[in-house]
Amino acid sequence: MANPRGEFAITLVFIGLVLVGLYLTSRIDLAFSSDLETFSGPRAYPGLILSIMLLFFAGSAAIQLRNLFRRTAGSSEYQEFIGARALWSLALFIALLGFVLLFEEVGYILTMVPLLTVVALLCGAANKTKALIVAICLTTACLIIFRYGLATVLPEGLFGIDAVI
Amino acid sequence: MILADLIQIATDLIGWHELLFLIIGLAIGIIVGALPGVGPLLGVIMAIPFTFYTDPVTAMALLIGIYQGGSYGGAVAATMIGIPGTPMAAATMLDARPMALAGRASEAVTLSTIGSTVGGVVSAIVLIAVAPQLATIALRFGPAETAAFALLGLTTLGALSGSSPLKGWAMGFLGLFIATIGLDPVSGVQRFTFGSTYFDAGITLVPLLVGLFSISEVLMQVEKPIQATDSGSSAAASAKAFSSLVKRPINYLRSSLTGVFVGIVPGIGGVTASFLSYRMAMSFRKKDDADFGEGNPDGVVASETANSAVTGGALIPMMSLSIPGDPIVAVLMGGLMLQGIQPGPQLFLQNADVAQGIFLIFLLGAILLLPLGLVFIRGVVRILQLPQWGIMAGVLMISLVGTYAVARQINDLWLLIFFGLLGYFLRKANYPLAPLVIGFVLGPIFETNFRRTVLISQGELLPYILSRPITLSVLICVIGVLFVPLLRAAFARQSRLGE
Repeated sequence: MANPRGEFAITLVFIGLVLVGLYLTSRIDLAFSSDLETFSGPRAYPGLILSIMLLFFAGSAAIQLRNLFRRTAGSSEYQEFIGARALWSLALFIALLGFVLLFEEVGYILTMVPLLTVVALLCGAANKTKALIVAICLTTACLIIFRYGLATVLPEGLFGIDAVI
Repeated sequence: MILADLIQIATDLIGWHELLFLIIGLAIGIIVGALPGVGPLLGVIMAIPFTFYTDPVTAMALLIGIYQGGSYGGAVAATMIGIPGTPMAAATMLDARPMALAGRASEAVTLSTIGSTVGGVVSAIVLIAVAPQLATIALRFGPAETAAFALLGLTTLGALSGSSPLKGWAMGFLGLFIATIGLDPVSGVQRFTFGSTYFDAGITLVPLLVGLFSISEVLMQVEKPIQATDSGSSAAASAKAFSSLVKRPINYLRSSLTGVFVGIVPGIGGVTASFLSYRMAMSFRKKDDADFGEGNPDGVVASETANSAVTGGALIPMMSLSIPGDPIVAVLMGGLMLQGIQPGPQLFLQNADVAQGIFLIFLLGAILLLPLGLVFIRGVVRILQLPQWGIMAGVLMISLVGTYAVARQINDLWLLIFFGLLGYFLRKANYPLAPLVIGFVLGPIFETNFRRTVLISQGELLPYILSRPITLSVLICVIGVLFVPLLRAAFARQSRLGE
C-alpha cells in the first residue's frame, strides 16, 4: 500500500501544475479565431481537458485526505515514501542527467560504460569488476547492433575524427 | 489448388524479411514476458525505436511477435520460478506451479504453449473475419462518429485504473493534455511550446513511452530490487500435454472464445480473461479431475488459451475503429502511426496491403508460437537465472540508445528523462500509467474530429448529434459505460443498508 502522505503530496503538486497549465492556456494566441465560446478555438479544448483533469485530481486529493485522517500515516502497512534506498534512485537520476549532458560531447562508449556500471551496482551487483565487465560487453554489443545492423552511428565524441582534427 | 493459391497470396504479402522479424519478435516476447518486472508492454515499447528502420509490415511483425510471445512468456516464469512474468499469467500459476512442484513442469509448460497457440489461432481467425466487416461499416463515419468512437475508447480509462478510477481518469486526461502540446491542428497556433520549435510537432511517442515505463521501472528497481527465487526444473515437450487437445477440445474452444470476446471489449484485458476463463473451467470440472489450484491441467489451459486469445480480439477495435483496448495495443497503434499509417477504417482502404500483412503475420505468429515456445523453454529458464542488475542495465541501455537513434536528437533524451521522473513519481503515488498512454494516443484523433464536428455543426452541436443516429447510439453507450457501474454500486450500497 502506498504512503498516503506521499500520495497526497504528489496529487497536490499535480493540482498546482494543472493550475499553471490553465494559466498557460489563457496565454495561447487566439490567432484568427474569436469563436472561443463554440469550442473550436485553440484555447478551448486544452482548457476543457485541464478543467476536467483538475476535478479528477481534486477528487483524488479529497479521498487521500480522508484516508490520511482515517488511518495512522506511520502505520507499518504503508510503504516508506522516501525509503532508505530513495537516495539510490536520486543517484541514478543524477547519473542519467550526467549521461545526457555528456553523451554527444564525450561519446557513446565513454558515457554508457560508467552509466551501466553505476546502474548495475545500484541494482544490487555485489562484484564491481563483474559489473564493469557486463557494462563493457553490453555497450559493445549495442554499438555493433546499431552500427553494423542498423547503420546508425552513435556519437563518437572524443573517439571521433572531428575531435582528433 | 486452393492451398497453393493461399501460399501464393501469403508470399506476396510477406517475405522472409517479415518472417524473420516475426520470429525475432516472438523470441524477444517470450523472454521479456518471462522476466518479472519487464513484461510484453515494456518489450514492445523498447522495440518501437527499431521499427523506424523497417517498412510498416515488418515493423508490425516485430511488435506483434513481441505481443504474442510476451502473452505466453509469462506462463514460463509462473511455472518454473513461481513468479508470474505478466499479470495475465497469475491465473496460470495457480495450477502450473503446483504441477511443476509435483515434477510435471514440462507438461505444464507444454500445456501453456498449446493453449497459447490455440488461443492465438482462434483469435486470428476471428480478427480476419470480423475486422474488415467492422471497418466497412466504419467507412461511412464522419468526424462526429469518429469523435464519438474515440470517446468510447476513452471510457476504458476508468476500467484500467484498478481500485481507483479517479486516478485513472486523471491520468487519461493528463495523456489527452500532453497530446495538445505542439501546433494546434486546426489553426496552427503554438500551444505550450514555450517558443521552442522542437515541440512544434508535439511530444513524440517514443520518449514518452520509454520514459514513463522503462526509465521509471529502472528507478523503481533501484529502490526495491526483485529477489531471485529458485530456478525450478528444466522443461521438455510432453506427449501427455498434447493429448489434452484431443481429449478436452471444448476447454480450448471455450477459453479461446472467452478471450476473443474480452479482448474486443476495450479496457477489460488479459487478466480478466484469464481469471474468467479459469472460473468457467472450474464450473465444468469433472468429478475425477484434480482440484483447481492443486495442479489441474485444465486450469493451465483455460488461463493461457484465454489470455492469448485476447491479443487478436484487442486488435479488432484498434484496426477497424482505431480504439486501443489495452496499453499494449495502444503502443501498437502508436507504432503504426509512427509509420505514417492511420489505424481505423481508412487502413483497409488506403493501406489494404498493410492490413492484410498484419492479419497474416498475426496468424503465422500464433502458429509459430508452438515450435518456438517449445524450443526456447530451456533458454528462457537460463535467462530467468540471470541477475536482475544485468537485466536492468540492458533495459536502460536499449531505452537510451533506442530513443536517441530515432531522430538523433539530444532533446529526445531530455524528454525521456523527464517522463522517466514523471513515471517514477506517478508509480510512487499509485497512479496507473496505462490510461495516460491511451489518452495520449487517442487525444489527437478525438480533438481533431471533435473540433471538426463543432465547426460543421456551426455551433449547434446538440441538434447535429441528434440528427446522426450512429453518433447518438455510441454516445448512449458512452453514458452507459460511464454510469452503469456507478448506479450498480449505488444500488448495492442501498441494498446493504436495507439489510
